Amino acid sequence: MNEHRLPEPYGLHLDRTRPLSCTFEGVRVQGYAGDTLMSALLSTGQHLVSRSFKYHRPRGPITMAGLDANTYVQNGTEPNALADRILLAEGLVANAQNVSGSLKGDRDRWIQHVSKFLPVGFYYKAFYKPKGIWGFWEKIIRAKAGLGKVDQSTPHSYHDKAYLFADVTVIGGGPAGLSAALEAAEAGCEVVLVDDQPLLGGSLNSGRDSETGGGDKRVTEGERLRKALAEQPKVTILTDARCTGWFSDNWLSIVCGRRLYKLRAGQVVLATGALEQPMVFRNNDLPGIMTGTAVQRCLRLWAVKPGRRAIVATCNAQGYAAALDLADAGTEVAAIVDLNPEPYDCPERRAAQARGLRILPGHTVWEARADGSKNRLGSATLRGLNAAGEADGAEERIECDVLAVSIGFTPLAQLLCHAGGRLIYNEALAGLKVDHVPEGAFVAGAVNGAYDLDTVLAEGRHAGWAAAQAAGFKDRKSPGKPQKTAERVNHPWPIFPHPEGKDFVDIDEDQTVADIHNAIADGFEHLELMKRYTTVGMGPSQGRTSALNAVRITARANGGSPAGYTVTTQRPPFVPESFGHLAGRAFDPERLTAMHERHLELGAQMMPAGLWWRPGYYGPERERAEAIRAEAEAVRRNVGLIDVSTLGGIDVRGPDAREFMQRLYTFNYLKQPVGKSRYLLLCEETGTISDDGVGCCFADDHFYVTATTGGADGVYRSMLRWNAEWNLDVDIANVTAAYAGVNIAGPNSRKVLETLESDLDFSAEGFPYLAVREGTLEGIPVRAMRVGFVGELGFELHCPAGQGEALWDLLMKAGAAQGIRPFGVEAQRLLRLEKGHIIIGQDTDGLTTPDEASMAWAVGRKKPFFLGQRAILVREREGTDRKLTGFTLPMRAPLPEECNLVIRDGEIAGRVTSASQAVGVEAIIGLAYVHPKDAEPGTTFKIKLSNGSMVEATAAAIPFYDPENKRQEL
Amino acid sequence: MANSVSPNDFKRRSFVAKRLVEAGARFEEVAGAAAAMAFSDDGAEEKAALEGCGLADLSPLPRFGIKGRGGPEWLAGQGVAIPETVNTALRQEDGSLAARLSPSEILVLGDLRGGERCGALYTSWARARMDDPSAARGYALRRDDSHAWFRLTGANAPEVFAKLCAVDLRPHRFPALSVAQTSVARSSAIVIREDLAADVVGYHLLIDSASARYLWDCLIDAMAEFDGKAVGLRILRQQNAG
Repeated sequence: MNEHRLPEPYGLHLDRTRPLSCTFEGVRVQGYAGDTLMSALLSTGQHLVSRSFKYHRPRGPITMAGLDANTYVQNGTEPNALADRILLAEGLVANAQNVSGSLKGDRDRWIQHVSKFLPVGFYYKAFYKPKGIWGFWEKIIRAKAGLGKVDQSTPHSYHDKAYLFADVTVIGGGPAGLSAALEAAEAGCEVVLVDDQPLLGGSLNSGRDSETGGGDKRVTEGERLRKALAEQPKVTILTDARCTGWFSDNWLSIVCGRRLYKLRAGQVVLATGALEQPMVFRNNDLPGIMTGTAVQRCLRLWAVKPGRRAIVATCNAQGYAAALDLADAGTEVAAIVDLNPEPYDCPERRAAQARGLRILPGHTVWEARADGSKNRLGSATLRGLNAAGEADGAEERIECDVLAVSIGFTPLAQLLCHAGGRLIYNEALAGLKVDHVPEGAFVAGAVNGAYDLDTVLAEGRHAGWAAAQAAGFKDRKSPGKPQKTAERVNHPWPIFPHPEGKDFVDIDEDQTVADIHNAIADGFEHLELMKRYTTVGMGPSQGRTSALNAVRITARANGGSPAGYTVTTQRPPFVPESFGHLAGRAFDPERLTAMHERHLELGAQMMPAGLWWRPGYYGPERERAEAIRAEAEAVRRNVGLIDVSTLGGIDVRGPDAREFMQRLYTFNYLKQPVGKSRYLLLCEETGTISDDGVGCCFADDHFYVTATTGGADGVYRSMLRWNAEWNLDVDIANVTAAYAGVNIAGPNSRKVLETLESDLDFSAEGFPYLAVREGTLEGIPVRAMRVGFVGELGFELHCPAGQGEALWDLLMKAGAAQGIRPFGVEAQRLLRLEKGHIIIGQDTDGLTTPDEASMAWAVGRKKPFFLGQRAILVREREGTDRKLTGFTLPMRAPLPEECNLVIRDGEIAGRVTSASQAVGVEAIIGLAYVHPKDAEPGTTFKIKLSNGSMVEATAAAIPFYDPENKRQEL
Repeated sequence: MANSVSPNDFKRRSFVAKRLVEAGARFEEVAGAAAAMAFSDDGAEEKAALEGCGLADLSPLPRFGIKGRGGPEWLAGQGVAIPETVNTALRQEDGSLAARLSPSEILVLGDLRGGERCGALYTSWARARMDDPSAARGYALRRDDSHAWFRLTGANAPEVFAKLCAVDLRPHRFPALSVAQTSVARSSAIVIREDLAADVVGYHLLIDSASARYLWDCLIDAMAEFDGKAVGLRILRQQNAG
């Protein structure tokens, strides 16, 4: 056993049967299971664990609760891991971060010696003069900025998320939280108890009994509560879990291991306790200076003696308790510096006095000094305080290697503030106090200003009972409200500015008292402005160890009292969350057609289309252009097969189906014959085109409507919305996923179909262009449609999705003799372009009217009403400055890309929407928005290519291919 | 146990047939499709999985939906007991299940044997429509094809759902024969709780058939920490019978 490690019963968290070793800064460190990296380092006598952000000053742990940024280290590939939360593991490798060279001999520590030249806000005033100098500074600043390093080769680690539910959630597993959870559970509630430590108990595990002078009563109470809770079947306990945010409707985010819990709580009891605050004096950041409660955690939780010779600076019972605990553990307590004019009266002080410990009332620590290593506290200079609380009395320097500070607490009420609660500075308590508790929330224990154990337990019970009541569990009798209320444990001004500075208010950001004064002198007197100018409270600790003193200093500098001051806005997360937790197990839904496997087997290059995956083309990527061309030629000259399952399918059924179609779409459907399909154009109320498709009339009261792949869900929603308004007698069913679909197209498509057994007549007479039929193909029920989207003889066959793969197999087999070729979306785009068919969203945008898209033919002018009609008429009257036109370029001209600009008289007149080398005609063809005067076939206009050069295109009539539609007469 | 049939032997195929084959499923013909009956010869592994968490693909089994004015009444006329309350289900005498999704929408899940009831309902509806198109009898929906049908069962099933779904589906909050129309892994889903055996909680999960493979993978992934596995129809039938 080394001199820093205490024997049992010290070390509640330790399993001494399991020694472990890790490496920090290349040095092997021994510890036990249950140790944190920090406690293991302390057990070797090492406090130094990091360097400060700005001045590279040596830093050690302050809170030993994972609530200060001094313990940030690089844990393997994880940056900014808290050494006082990293559980020791065999083989763990950690390093200091933000150091130049080594931790002990950081080369950048010289910066602190020029701090005079780096006052608050200096970066706002420097670096930009003279002009052009920023480039010089930027390199230096970027090299120095940031904490830790992200290893971009870090292997993926699995994180996920899960929902949790509770009638009552208790955050904090200390005495208040445990008694609240038990009370709520006994009332019948389902309770989730969240605690950030591995063992429930909080201060019951690390504190000192006021009465017994040991930890017995606390330990006994902790064991009793843990046992009682374990016996409650409706209690879920999350240890080592940190609640990071409290959102609307009591939605709590909780990080536990590699999981982010999303907890929905009926009621929430906040029992997060309070955090002991640092004192402000020169060099108050030296390793070895820590809070009294941190000292107690070291002793009781990890059996670590934090030093050989201690000074305790205090104003309350907590400090005397820490002094007694240090003395019990064998640390020499050189002095107890009591900031009160008279020693604080409490059993602990009397016990200290009885043990002969030296008590110096009316004194403070004025300055700390480093030892010979310059990396650890070596001594402290004390000074007497005058009646005004100023340190102007006699000085005494005392050698010490640990300085425990207990001069007050701040409630850990950040989560409550997320939910709408408020903290206000209370002069009577000389500290921040919860001033407002939102509905559905309860506070208990130290977070509510209670420190006496009996009071804390009673508050917990009452809060648990009240939460249960609010959750509807009203049978249980009230345990009664505690008699005592918040007690004063804080010193009102534990701040001793030093003429030579280094009196840190914000230890994360190296901000001193003078920095706050300078900010106020610069006009940033409001707390929120001061915070942003100085960055006080903006470091990783988010003001947990700085806000209280910052409020006091700002108030006094503004010539007033801190009474009524609120802390700056608290935002989630309360403690840092990793990107892994936020990303978690991401859910990115994707939709596959029934034939998906077949496409992969055929070597398809799949491309996303909304949530769907569609074959772009078949074949290796390097042969993309050839593959697309060959597929297109197969359709033009032989037969091709494309999977069109992703097209939206909506059944509109009912007596008012025709009327519904008539109102929704721009064309006429009242007299559409049964057994025929008709083009559909859907506009918004603004007259902008939103979708298109085909309406297949299978019966007077049944239209089967197709929609674009990306637009299907929107069309369906739009239909439901409008019918809710129109109240027509129709039923609307989105059957997109229920039907798989193929388009078999090409001059030989009919030949393939006619080899199959079917009750459908696929002949030209029996199945003319635009006809629709229902029947079967080799026993598979199909909805069959004569279509011409790609400009060839073609049939769309839609069948129940479960049989889609079989339909594909059937057609590929039947077409083998003809040399059928599957074709993908890319070839289809080319073929439809040759035919002049637009693609909504590609050839239209968020403003396009039917007139602009040259689709005026699809608007029923004589209809009394259709969606968007009025706006279309108004917009037509107002005229337009663009028109969609076909264009051609010679085959060997450079190929314009989509969105290349159309230029007219030096101004942008439009853009290219589609362009490709055709297979059906010898030219580059495309669609573009041009000035209406340039839309006339034969007119030339200029296109600015991606490389900046201009090409002259010729407006052309569409379709480019088969303008007389002869192919549909096959 | 050798596979006597494979999904490709039938025109109707499960939406996750490939996954079932990859997991070593033994198939048998059920209702004109290959259903995954088991994933091991003696079924011991599945039994163990079932106690913790098992996922079965019931997509080959028939189901039927009806929606619109007069639909529930027509269905009642066909002898289907209709739940009175929306988002509840009723078990039918033949082992099928009727779930009320809205005042005018009913979903019928066929029994585990693959009985003919759902097919008969569809035929009967189509014939009635042909005979009298104007009568209000709702509109039949192709639930066989619009939705894949999974069953998640076992003690850990609620915890698996908690990783995928924001609705509290734990047994004491989501009683037997409750229905939730919600989102699972960000995909629309219908969840129906029906326990086939006492003390073994189980849920039917109806999801967009095009998203079936995505959801299957999500569920298998979420089950991993509980040693969850794919299970076959055989063990569910045993559970139901026992």
